[in-house]
Amino acid sequence: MLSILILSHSPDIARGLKEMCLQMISGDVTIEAVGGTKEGNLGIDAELVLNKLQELMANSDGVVVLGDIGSTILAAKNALNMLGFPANVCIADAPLVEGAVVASVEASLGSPLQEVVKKAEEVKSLNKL
Amino acid sequence: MMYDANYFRRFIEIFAKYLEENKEYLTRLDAAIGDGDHGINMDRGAKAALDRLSSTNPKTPGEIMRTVGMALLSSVGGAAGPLYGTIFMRMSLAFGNRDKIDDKNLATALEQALLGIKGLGKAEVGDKTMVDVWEPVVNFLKENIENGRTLPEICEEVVALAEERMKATIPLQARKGRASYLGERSIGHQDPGATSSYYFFRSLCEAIGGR
Ligand SMILES: Nc1ncnc2c1ncn2[C@@H]1O[C@H](COP(=O)(O)OP(=O)(O)OP(=O)(O)O)[C@@H](O)[C@H]1O
Ligand SMILES: [Mg+2]
Repeated sequence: MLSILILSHSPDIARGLKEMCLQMISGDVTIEAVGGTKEGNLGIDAELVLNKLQELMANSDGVVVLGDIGSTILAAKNALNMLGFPANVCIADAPLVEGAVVASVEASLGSPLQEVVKKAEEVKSLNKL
Repeated sequence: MMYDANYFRRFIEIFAKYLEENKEYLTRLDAAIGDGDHGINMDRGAKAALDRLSSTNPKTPGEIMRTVGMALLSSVGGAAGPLYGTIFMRMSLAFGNRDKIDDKNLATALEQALLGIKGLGKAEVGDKTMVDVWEPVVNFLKENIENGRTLPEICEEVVALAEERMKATIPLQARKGRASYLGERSIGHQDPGATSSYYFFRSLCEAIGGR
């Protein structure tokens, strides 16, 4: 079973996107979201990102991390550095909303980690019109 | 010269004092090219660091730096959290469990910190980030310390160089971080992270008492 970790600057985006992803899936996937600072303002709590990631690693076979702008990705990369680049965690280089939805669906179909990441990254070239 | 736990505590206290005094200034710089939170973020982070230092009372330089790094990670909230977090964590790793740090250890630790932030944020000199201050200052420190000089001897030059490189970010266009979304509009403003980095090096020097 894989898990998806959604990171956003905005606590509302994190919460809302998690809800959107949960609605799309049928199978067994854990979806977690971290957004905003400790005080609930815009930003990211990099320590919480580290702790959540460790928790998901312990309770699933792999974690796909997706973030929005700048500091969420820095927080994720920092966590990977501190954990010694675990093989079962990947940051997907994808737009957050579409990437998270696609990753959730793909993971719920039982695809392996690398395949889920690939599918999420493919949404970069998705045409909407 | 040897730097003990008291030196590093003094360094953190001075850094925190500069961040508090310049909270509005840093926030104004960040408001011009970012989201206006760098001063608030760094001041909050420094206060959290001081709190954790007094509640956990770490004994070695390495433990002190680690405590500060974790506090910054949990409380800064913006890009500066992971970046400064990395700086302090890398320095902590480089110090290991030594009770006293010499000039060479210090230079190595700062070099590790620089490699850490470059690896994390992928910024190079000229991208209008804190790396614009860090890289030249660390290179200067390393070169001089390898040639047998000590931090107290070169402090004035270190602070002057940090200030010069901080100001040199003004005409640059940002290519990393939130300010890069502004394109040419980022030209003409001093980078907030380069400015807090100037306070970092200034504090490191002032903690010696040689300045
Ligand atoms: N990729 C990077 N590499 C090095 N330094 C960076 C990078 N991104 C941002 N910075 C530094 O961080 C400073 C801004 O820090 P701040 O804490 O305000 O983050 P922010 O840009 O508000 O983050 P966020 O993306 O959360 O909004 C910049 O002035 C710059 O010096
Ligand atoms: Mg900012």
